[in-house]
Amino acid sequence: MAAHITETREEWLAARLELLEAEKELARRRQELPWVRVDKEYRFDTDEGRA
Amino acid sequence: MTRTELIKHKVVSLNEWLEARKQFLIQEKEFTRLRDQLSRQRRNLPWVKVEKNYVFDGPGGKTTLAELFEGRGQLVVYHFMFAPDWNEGCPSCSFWADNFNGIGIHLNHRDVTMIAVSRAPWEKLEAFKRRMGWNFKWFSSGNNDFNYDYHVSFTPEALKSQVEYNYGKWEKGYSDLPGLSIFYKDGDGNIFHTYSAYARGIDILNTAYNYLDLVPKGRDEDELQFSMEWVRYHDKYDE
Repeated sequence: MAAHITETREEWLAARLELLEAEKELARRRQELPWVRVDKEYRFDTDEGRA
Repeated sequence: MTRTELIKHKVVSLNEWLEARKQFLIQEKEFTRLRDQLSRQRRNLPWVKVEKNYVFDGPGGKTTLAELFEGRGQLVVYHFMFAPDWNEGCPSCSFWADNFNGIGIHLNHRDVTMIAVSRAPWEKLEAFKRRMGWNFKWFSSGNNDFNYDYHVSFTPEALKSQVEYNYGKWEKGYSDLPGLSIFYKDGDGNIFHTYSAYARGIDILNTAYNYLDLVPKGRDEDELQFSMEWVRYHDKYDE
């Protein structure tokens, strides 16, 4: 903790805004990903029986 | 409840899906790297020494800021919107609390104590906490300047003009707003304010929203009057 380096708030803010853009872009691209149809009939066991 | 219709989404073979997923993984990894870099920069921000002797009210009586650390070196304060004349805490803050309730024990093992602070009397905080089934510690700052100094509460006088919130000037009209503040206590008992975040700065701390970002419909809030219009207290969704 002694070697605490001071960086300017501007630099930090610039990096934060860059991350925000990356965040938005990721969310958009994720929703555009294609899907795969699930064709198997998976059955699971629960405390209320087979589901 | 659901507003977005997902029609005609691209459906492909498993192989094609894997290809698209791997391409996207490159971007996710870049994001993770950026996030780690940002977290390092956050920890490098300078600190401010806390000179006031804040005294809070809680179930254990009067408690100083230093005592809130419970012997640990790092303190996380969630600024929970709960004004003295309200009978319930803010629904959105309650949504956030549902997400951090239970993590305290883990944080304790990284030298961190996490608490919530609001202006309402501690008896109201305790009653609401019991109703919601939470176990985090919650203190009242109703008798000190803490909420005003950390820009999450505003006096009626201040509300007549623009208030300082999230490092800007805003016409907010609310006496209380959400935020998160971090403090560090050194071996000599000196306390430092290291960080505060507000508004969407605390978005990432809501785990439920992080999950919603992964499902096809996302947060599904575009058609709502305001983003969290759909949020209820967890015991009120059936009403």
